[in-house]
Amino acid sequence: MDSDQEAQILKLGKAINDPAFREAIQSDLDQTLQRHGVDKDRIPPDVLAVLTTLSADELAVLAKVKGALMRAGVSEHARAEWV
Amino acid sequence: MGLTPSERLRRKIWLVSGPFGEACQRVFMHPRLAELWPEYMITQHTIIRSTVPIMRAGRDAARARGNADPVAAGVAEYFDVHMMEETDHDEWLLEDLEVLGIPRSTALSRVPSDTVAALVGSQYYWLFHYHPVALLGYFAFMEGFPPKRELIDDLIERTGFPDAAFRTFELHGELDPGHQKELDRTIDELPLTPEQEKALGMSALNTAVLVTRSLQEVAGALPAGS
Repeated sequence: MDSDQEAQILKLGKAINDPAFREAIQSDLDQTLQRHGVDKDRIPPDVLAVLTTLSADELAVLAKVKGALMRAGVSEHARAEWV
Repeated sequence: MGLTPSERLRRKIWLVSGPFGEACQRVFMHPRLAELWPEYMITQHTIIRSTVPIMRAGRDAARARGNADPVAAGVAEYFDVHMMEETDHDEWLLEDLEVLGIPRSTALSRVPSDTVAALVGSQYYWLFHYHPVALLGYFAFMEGFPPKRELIDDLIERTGFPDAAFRTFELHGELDPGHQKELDRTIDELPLTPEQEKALGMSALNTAVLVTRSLQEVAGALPAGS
């Protein structure tokens, strides 16, 4: 993952903390990401695909898992080999 | 072709598996692992001893909804079978601790942490006050990461503890993959509403948050450098 992609995922992680973002993303993913300055094309497709299946309430829980999007973004190698 | 409900749930769990894996590593790779391991086991016992009681509560709450609720009927059937499979795992863990010379009274007298109470307690809330189907999200996460043989061998080597002290850990490594498949099949067979599927997701994600926190607390119980 390059630094720009990392920055985009961090932005997305920060945006998820905002309840308005969590609601808005349900109806218009592209526009909502754009409004929050997140470049959709730089978000790993796996992460985007899961995001679109999450309700606003689920996103609120996800927001508590610090670093989840970042770890998902860097994919398998960053996930512990132990589990 | 679209994803099944269990596939969607697994993808949600995947999203939070990174921080969970890191918390596992903090425990399993701790420089003072032999000293920390009993602490980990005692914490695990505070969680595992609630497994059969919460499955029973889930089954009973599901049964109480009657035949008119097909989701509840499926949940009741699932827990009726699986609570038998989980029976005595807490006892095994106490025996593993005894292998290490730690009396069961030490584990049983320990006040469970607020994190563990929140982890298990939130499930009681959902099953009694929303729908017992939410409990399947908890088990989807809890049985979703069976320990690998290599990890167990590594833990035995680095702690210097006998194999017998890892019996519960080993058995979960063997049993959980099968349990996971059965759970996924059950989830896919239930006529879930969108709200119930959301409850499964919230339950699993909440479990990830709190199990990760619990592991971080275990890792933090012993300073790495002293």
